[in-house]
Parts: sequence; structure tokens; C-alpha cells
Amino acid sequence: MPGSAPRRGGAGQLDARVKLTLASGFVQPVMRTSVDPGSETFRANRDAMLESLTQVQQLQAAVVAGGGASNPEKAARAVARHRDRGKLLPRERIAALLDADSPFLELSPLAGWGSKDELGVGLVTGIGWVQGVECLVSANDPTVKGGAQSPMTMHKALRAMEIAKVNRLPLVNLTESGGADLPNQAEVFVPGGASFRNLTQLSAMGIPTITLVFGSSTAGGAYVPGMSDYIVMQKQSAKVFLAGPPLVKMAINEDAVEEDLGGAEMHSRVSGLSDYLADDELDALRIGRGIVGHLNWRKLGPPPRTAHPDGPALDPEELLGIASADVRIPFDVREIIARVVDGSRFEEFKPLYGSQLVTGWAELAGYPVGIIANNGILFSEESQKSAQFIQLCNRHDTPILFLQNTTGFMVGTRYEQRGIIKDGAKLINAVSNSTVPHVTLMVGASYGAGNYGMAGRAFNPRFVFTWPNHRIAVMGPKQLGGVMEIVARQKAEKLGIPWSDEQFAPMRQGLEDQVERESTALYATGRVWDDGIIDPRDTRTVLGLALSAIHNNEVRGTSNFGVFRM
Amino acid sequence: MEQRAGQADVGVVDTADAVSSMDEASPERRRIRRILVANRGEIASRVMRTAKAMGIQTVAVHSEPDARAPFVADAMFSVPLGGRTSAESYLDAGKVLDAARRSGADAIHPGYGFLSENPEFAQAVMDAGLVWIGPTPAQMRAMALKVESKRLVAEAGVPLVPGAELAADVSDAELLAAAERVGFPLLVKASAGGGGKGMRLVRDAASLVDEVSAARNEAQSAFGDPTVFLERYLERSRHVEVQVFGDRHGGVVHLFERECSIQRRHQKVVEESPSPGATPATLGAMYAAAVAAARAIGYHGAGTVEFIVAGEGEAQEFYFLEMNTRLQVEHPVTEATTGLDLVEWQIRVARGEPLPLAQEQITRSGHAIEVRLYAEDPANGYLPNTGRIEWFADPGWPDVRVDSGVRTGSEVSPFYDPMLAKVIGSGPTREDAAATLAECLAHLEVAGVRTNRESLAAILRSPAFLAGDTTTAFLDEHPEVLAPAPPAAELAHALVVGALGLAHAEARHAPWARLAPLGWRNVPAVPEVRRFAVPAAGGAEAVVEVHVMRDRAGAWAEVAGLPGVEEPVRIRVEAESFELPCVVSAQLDGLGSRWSAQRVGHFLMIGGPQRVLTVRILPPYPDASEHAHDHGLATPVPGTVTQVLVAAGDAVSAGDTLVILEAMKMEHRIRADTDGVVEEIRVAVGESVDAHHVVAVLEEP
Repeated sequence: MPGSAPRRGGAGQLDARVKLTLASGFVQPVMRTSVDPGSETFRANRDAMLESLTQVQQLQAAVVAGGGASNPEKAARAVARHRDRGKLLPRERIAALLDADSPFLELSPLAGWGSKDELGVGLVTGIGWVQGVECLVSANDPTVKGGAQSPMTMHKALRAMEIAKVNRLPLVNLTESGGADLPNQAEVFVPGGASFRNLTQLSAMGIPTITLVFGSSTAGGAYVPGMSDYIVMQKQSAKVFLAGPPLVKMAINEDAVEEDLGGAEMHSRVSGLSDYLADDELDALRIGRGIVGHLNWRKLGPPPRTAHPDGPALDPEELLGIASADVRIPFDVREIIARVVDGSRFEEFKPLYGSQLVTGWAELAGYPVGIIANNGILFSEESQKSAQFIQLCNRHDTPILFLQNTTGFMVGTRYEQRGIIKDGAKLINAVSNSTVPHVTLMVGASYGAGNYGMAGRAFNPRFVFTWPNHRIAVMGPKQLGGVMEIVARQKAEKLGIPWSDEQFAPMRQGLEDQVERESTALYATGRVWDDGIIDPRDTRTVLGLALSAIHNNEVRGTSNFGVFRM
Repeated sequence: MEQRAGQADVGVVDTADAVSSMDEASPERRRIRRILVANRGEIASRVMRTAKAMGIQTVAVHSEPDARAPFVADAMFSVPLGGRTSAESYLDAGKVLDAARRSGADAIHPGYGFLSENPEFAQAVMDAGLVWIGPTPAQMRAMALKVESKRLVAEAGVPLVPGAELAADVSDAELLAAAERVGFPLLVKASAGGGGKGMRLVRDAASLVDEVSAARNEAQSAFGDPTVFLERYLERSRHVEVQVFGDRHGGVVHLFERECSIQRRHQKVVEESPSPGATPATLGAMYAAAVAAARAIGYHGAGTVEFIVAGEGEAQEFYFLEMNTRLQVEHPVTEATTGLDLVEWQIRVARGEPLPLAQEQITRSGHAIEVRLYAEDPANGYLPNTGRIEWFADPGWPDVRVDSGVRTGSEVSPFYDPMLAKVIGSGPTREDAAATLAECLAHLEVAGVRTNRESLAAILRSPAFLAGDTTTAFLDEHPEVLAPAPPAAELAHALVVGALGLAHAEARHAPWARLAPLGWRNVPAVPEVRRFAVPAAGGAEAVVEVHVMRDRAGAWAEVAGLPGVEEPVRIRVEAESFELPCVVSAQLDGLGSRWSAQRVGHFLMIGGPQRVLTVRILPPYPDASEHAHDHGLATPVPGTVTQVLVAAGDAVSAGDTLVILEAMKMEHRIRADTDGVVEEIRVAVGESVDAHHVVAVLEEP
């Protein structure tokens, strides 16, 4: 069991470290720490982190409650109505589908934050074990707008499918949805087609797709079961048809009865669309488990190097106070690594070169990983070191973990002349063409092209998780405000308009506030730029689960990169 | 068996020599080198234990279902008797004798029950030249018929329960007069009977004639002998018996009494020594009477003289009930208080030795109580429970002896008595013995079959028992001890620990075990639910759900559905640690305790500080077999209706054919999927129908 670190300051601490190191036979010593949990900085960081976490947890609780977080009273009524029909909430369905006590890594739980869509977007996606098989589970929340698909719902659903596809995870849909969110049909209709294409592509790739239909799954939604390898329908509840009775009446003037048109019995006995007829929700979930059980699923990636990995020797609880509350204040990313990797053992590569970037090897939950972590700015040395390290990881078929805390590539005449663009290009080349799995964790700033070089979302890492203190933008708000002020002044001077710092100040402040707002972790996760904000103390668990999911697919590096500009 | 043929020959020659010079009147020493125990279960093991200690080899005989029973493994040799029922195996004297010959046994110990009080068998054993460890056939016969035995002991001056013998042609008036002499309430008993058969309780004269006639019929059909007699029924009486021992040299001693008043269906459940109810005066008279009765028939071996004791103090009276000419089930309480080995005495007496001790050398100290652990449901009319014993573990309690006939994996078959074990507790005082024994029973681990374990512990802890208020009416007067439910709070704690233990045990082999804590969520949402069937009042089962929701500091558990508790019980689990395989240390609501949780088959045994509880693990999903889908009352394929066998209004049973359809030269029968009444028939003979065409509609009752 992970997380069994000895408490710091206890008499047994040193003993525990020695034992861990010797017992493993690993050549690396336990990492040293200079974190002082009693210090002012630590306490301030921890307080700020806990405050952000509380906000995240409150938002999550509102999503879990169901019904739509925007109007709690309406939400309560919707949930009560759902329960009155004897139906389970999506997370209850998921819990009943999963193996007892299986972990469930929920993805994008706060999608939709800051948008006009409901928080959580009426869909629950995540990874958990069914009959010992890691599955990507995607469950509609019918208490939120009847499970209708809003634009962000589509976005979140497609992201989940992408995760299933690249990591080769069997997909289980728990379907009960009113279909497209009609008032927003324009935004949903065209991208919506991708979900059906994805389903059949998953199937073509040999990734099983299973859909359990608990309620309505009509019109375009009918293709979710329609495109799946296996379909289970719940008696007297599932309704699957291209057009409901009103549309049938409009289209061909037929008076159709819903049950005959698309009931579970009809599809199980007559049309053959349904493969299994379930008596009730639990029966459907039981059947779903049976199906996953017979898939004869095998992970293609190598098994972990040890079945019983050591937890970190240093206390993960301290992760709360390490990252700076203000992203402008640097901290040593090794302190994070030391509280995440197995036995707090880390073999650092090129420790004396390019000190603003830390590279090296470790094991996490028994899986070997290469780690690339920022300690601030990317200079030429850091970029070259990182590009070299990525090539090494590809040679060894080793997944890479990126820990982002960067304000971007260095600027200035001196650095331009020394070829910072060429070196940055080397890094972006390496990260783009690397074929080993990448996982990115945002532990602080992610500004500018630093985001790209460190496997930001656009570079298709298998997973992106963020800490609540994370900030993401093209540049820092103050820099952006300053840049805009300079540009505006130059323009004013050119046009001969008198310039007043006082007059521009509110505009600059407004801009800074806007960028600040748009660069928060919540803003990013609301747009599904990442796969979720996590509690720093859960980092090891989350990364371990991600690595395990990744190993459902093969892990293979490449030697084929773009031309490195020398 | 073949390799022991030589030994067998030697044995036979040995005993044949001995027998030729053997005469019951002139006791000579006989050697016993190999005892065949003509019995099964705990008593077979019990006899073998002493035999081994005396340097005597042992032979077990066994039926087919007992082939892997512990007593067979305890024996040095074993002989299969074949057959399954008692009649086909342990009661088949010919097979047992044949086994003795084949195994080279030179003596037979009959245990109790089966052939132990069968004089013909005893005679056959002796005729075969083997030593019979028990009284002579003549002694057994003297005691076998109740009327006979009473006449004998009355002549020896032993008081009898007021009673009357009835001639076969007794007139109604004579019957009434006899009944008035005996006094009401009275029992009509079969002379040849036992085990409650042919026994009627009559409270007044009105029903006397009918009941006697009914008892006669029952006696005739059960024992082939319609003779019945009347006996005063002593309400709230005590059953007290005196252990006697005689040897072949005329020696007779008693080994004090045992009280066995607490009975169910005329079978003893709790037995103890000394008797809490009999006065010293009664006991003194009883010992004398028992010794006198044994002397009267020149008894040798172990015997028990049973009495009924009525009244208290000065007014206490006792009456002879019957004499058992064998070792009793409850002999361990005598052993525990006297320090003697009664089986050893039986063997010594059978070898012709004098009794090891004289009366004045026999003393007893302290108190001992035996309870019989049965596979039965006390709250459900003591219905025997059969099945596999998934787990059986004697907790090894100090001052407690467990004579068990089963172990983990044993089958309790319907063919034999469902007694699993005798548990005997002893201590300086009755309170000590009761407390120790109750505690041991509370921690005795048994799963797989229902037992009276909790009921026994409840008896021992009940105020009435502790006050010594033990009469034959005890269980009728104290129904609360039949299915004692543990206090809800304790049950809740046990189930929480059970759920945690189960989770940890399962997680050991889970593929995610190294990756995440149990039930980990980044978005906490839904508790993990486990369902158990727990014992509830009146022997019923209640379905209890345990919801466990974990957080960083521990877990919250909610227990819903506890019998007699409306609101779910919330328990904070501050700490849990699991040392494999099953020890659980839990800090629940601020109180630390050590538990064990062990899964055996579909059962979970939860051992706590107070007791071991066995609960049934319920599956999380509905039983698939209950969901077998019918194919509807519709045509499976297109075809022509050739027969319509029912009409609207007909009652049909599930499986009845309603309509026959011919398609592609094959006949398809459409059958009722449930019991019900035909509401409508939607096809006619000769009609061509499509597939999935509904042919009939049933109205379910």
C-alpha cells in the first residue's frame, strides 16, 4: 500500500530510510530534503494550497450532488425525481460497475467551470477496474438537463474517448441521455459526429466498446449503443430509436408506440440491437461486468518492475507546502519528486548542467519513468539537456513524466544571439516526435512556449493533471499588461495622441485581471485543457493510476525525430 | 487390511483361548490389545484417546459419508462398513462383527447410541470371542423394558414416580381409576419406547381414554408393542442422574450426580455436576438408591441411574426414571469434577480388573458444565441443519474441554445426530464454570451450518441459569435464549470490521493494490456498499448494509438495516490496520480493539472482544438465476398453428403447453412461463402466424 511514509521528525525516520534503500537493492540513495515544515513560507504555501483545495472540493461536491450546480434547488428536485423512479446516480452506477473498492480516477470533473454549461457538464468519465480490467467508464448524468449533450459535454466525452484510444482502454458507456442540447445544437451537431466515428474506430483497433442503456438514448444518441460492440438494455427503461413518436408522426404520419419503436424488449427480441436484456439497473451492471470479464483482456505494456513498490520515504503530506502560492517565487522541484517516486529514489541526469531543469530516472508504482522537471526558465542548456534526455528515454522505451513550473524560454539579445530559438526548437522537435508515453503534471507556472516544450496539452501527452496553484497563459499577467502598455504607448506616440500613464492604468489593470482570471487552474480545467485538478497529496496515486492505464498499450520509443537544427 | 491378516489371526486365537476359560461368574483377567469402536463422531475419538493412552490399538468403522471424518483419522485402522444410513452401517451388527474379525480387534467399545444397549449384539460380540466393553446382555435386558426395570428397582427399594401399568384389555372405568391413583397431569408412555415416541401428556380425565388409545397405536407402529403405562407428570422438575460403576468382583460405586434438566425435545442440552438443585439429603438418598439398583442386578461397567427430582428443600422428592447401561454423552462433567477417566474404568472393568478406587477414595471438587453444540436452529423448532462445516476452530480456552466430532471441511449429513461437539467448562464454582464456558462458546468459531452456539452461551449467562433455577421447563420458560441477537451496537461494530477486513483481504490480490488506497477517489462520491445476512430475533435473518466512505483521516461507516434499529448507525473508523491473514486492529469511535475477520466460503467470521459472529456475505448483484428470461408467449418462428390446448379462463401452471405451432416440419410448443389464468388466446388452429406473434396472454395470480 502506498503512502506509508514515516512521519518526519520521528525517531524511526532514519532507520526506515536505510531499510528501504538496502531492501530494494537500488543503488540510489534516498533524496535529501531541505523543506522545513515549520517555516513561515511552508505554512503560508500550505494555507494557500488548502484554501484552493477547499474551493475545488466544494465545486466537486456540487457536481456529485447532481442536477446541475447552477441552481441547487432545481438540482435537488431533479435528483429527487430521478431517485423516485428507482434510478441510481451516475457515480452510484459506476461504483456498482467497478470491482469492490477499486479506485476510480475521475477525469475532467470540473469541466464547464466558468462557461455557460453546467459544472461537470452532465457526464462522468474516468478510469477504474471492472473484473480486474482497467476500463474507461463514461456515464451520463440524466439529472443534469436530462443528460443532454452540451458543447462542453461533447468536448469532455471526446477527451475520454481519446484517452481510451491512445491508452487502449476498454470503453464502457452508461447511457441515459436526452440527446443533443437542442438550444445549442449548432455547437454540438457537427463535432458530435466524431463520437460515433471514435466508437467504431476503437472497435476497429480491437478496443472493446460496451454500452449499457438505462434510459433514453435517442436520435443521434441511438448510435452510441448502435456503434458499440456490446449492448445491454434495461427492461421498461431503455429507449433507443432514431425518431420518437412525435417525429415519426411528423415524418411518415405513423402513430407509433414508444415501447414498440425502441423498447428494450423489442430490441432484445426483435431488432437484435440489444444483446442482453437486463431486469433492472443492477442487473445491467452485473451483465456489463460479465462482458468485461470475458474479454480476455491483456495489457500490452510491460508489467511493473516490482509488484511491491516502496512508498516515498518522505512524507507526501508535505507536498501541500512546497509549491509556492505565488508562482513567481521559485522552489526546488526535486522536493516534489522526492515525495512522489518509489522510495524517494531518483537518479539525476546531468545534475551540474542546465540547472533550471531537472532530468533523471526513477520508478513510480513500480514503473520506470524518466522525469523532466522545471526549476524556472528554459535556457539553451536546459533545452538541449531536455532534448537529449527525451531521446534517451525513447531508446529505453521509458515513459516520461513532465513536471511543469516554467515561465518560458529565456528572452533577450544575448540569448537570441546564442540561439535560444534553435535550442527551443530542438526541445519541441524531441517532445513532438517522442513516441514513449508522456504524462504532464502542472505544479506551478506554465507560461509561453515553455508549455509546449514541456509537453503541454497540444503535444498530446497521455494525461495532463494540475495542482490547484497552477497558472497557465501565453505569459504572466503583469508581463502581458506591461507589454500591452508599451505597445499602446508606441501606437499613441506614432499617432501623436497624448499619453497618460494614469489614464491607461485602469485598462492595464483590467487586462491584468482578465489574464489572471483566464490563467487559473479552474479556468483551464473548465475548458478541458487538462484532465483534472488534483490534491497534491494524491499525486503519486494519480500518476500511478495513469501509468498503469498507459501500460494497457505498448510502450515503445523511437529514433525517428525531425531534423535537429544545429 | 491384508497386511494385518496375520495380526488378526493372532488376536482371534488369543481371545478364543481367553473365552474358553471365561465365565461371567469367575472373572478372569483378559488382555485387550486392539479395540474396535462401534460408533462414530466425538465419542469414537474420545474412546480412542483413552485407548491410545493405555497402549491399546484402535479400529474405527465408518459409513460412506463418514469416510473422511476425524474419528476415522484418529484410529490406527479403519474398516468401511458401506452404506449411508445408520441402519446400513453402524446399526448393522453383522457388518460390525465382520469388521472386528477383519481388523483383528479383540474388544468392542460400543460408545453410546447405535448398538450400545442392544443385548443381542453384546451377546454376538461375546460369542465371537471378543471382549464386550459394557454390561452383560442379561443386565441390559433387565433394564431395557421400562416396566421390567421399574419392578426391579422398586424391589431394591428405589422410589418410583407414581404410575400404573395397564393391561391390554383394561376397561375405561379401570383406566380412570388407575389415572386417579397416579394423579394428573400424567404421561402415557410406551413400555418399549424412548425418544418421546408413544408419549402423551394428559392434563385431565376428559381426554384420557382417547390419548391412551392414540399412544397405543403410536407405540405399536413405532416399536411393534402397544403396551403403555401411566406415569405422573412432574412439572418443573429436575433431571438428576447418578453415575455408577460396577466390576466383575461385586464392587459397585457411584461417581456422584449430574443434573441434565435443560432439555429440548427430550434431549439434554446442558449437563452439570454438582446438581444446583438437589439437596444434600436428596443426593445422599439418590446415591444409595443408585448403588442399590446396580447391585440388585449385579451390574458391571458404566451405568447411569436417572431420577426425577421435584420440589425444593425439605419437601424435595425424587423418583427413579430409568437406568442407562452405557457410557453417557455427558460423562465428561463427571470426569472434570472427579479427575477420573471413565473410559479407562470401562476398559479396566472389561479386562476383569477390580474398580480402581473404592467409594471413599472417590472425591470431587469444583464444578463442571457441559453443553452440546448441535447443528440446528433453536429458534426454528431445533430444525437440524446439514451442510459443509466451512470452518471449525476450538478457541483453546483455559479450563475448557472440547470433545468434537467435526473439523473444518466436515459434512453434517442428514443421516446422523447433528451434534458437532461437546464443550465442557470447569471452575472452582458454578459461576466460574458457567462464565468460562460461555466465554469460550462466544469465541468458538464455526461457520457453514447454523448452530445453537449463541443459544448455549445465552443459557449460561441467563439469570435463571445462574440462580440454579434449572428445570426441564427451562427452555419453554425462557424463549429469549433460543436466538439471542447480539446488541445492535456490537453487531454494528462487528459488521464494520467485517466489511473492512473483507475489503483488505480482497485487495491483497487486486491489480490496483500497489497503486491506490482502498476505494480511492479523486472525487469522493459514493460509499462502498457491502451486504450481509445477520442473525435476527426469532432465528430470522436480516439484510444489513455496511457503507464505507474513506477519507484521508480514516473512514466513516454507516450500518443500515440492523434488526430493531430504525436509523443507520454511524461509526467513525479512526485507524485500521490489517496484519495478514486476518487480524484487524481497529479504532472505532475512540475505542481500540482487536478483531479478526475471516472469509470462509460465503461466510464471514468476525471475531471480536465479546464474541465470534458468523454472517453470510450477500452478493452485490441480484441473483442471475432469478432473472432467467422467458421467451414470451410468442411464436419463435413463423409457422402454422396446429393445436390450441387451452381456452380463455383456464388455469395453467408454468411449463404447460398452450399452443403448438408447426414450422419447417418441426413442432414448436409454446408453454406458459408462469402459473396463471389464460386471459386471451390470440390464434386459431390453422392460422399462419409470423415470428414473435403473441399467441396468448396470461393473467398472473
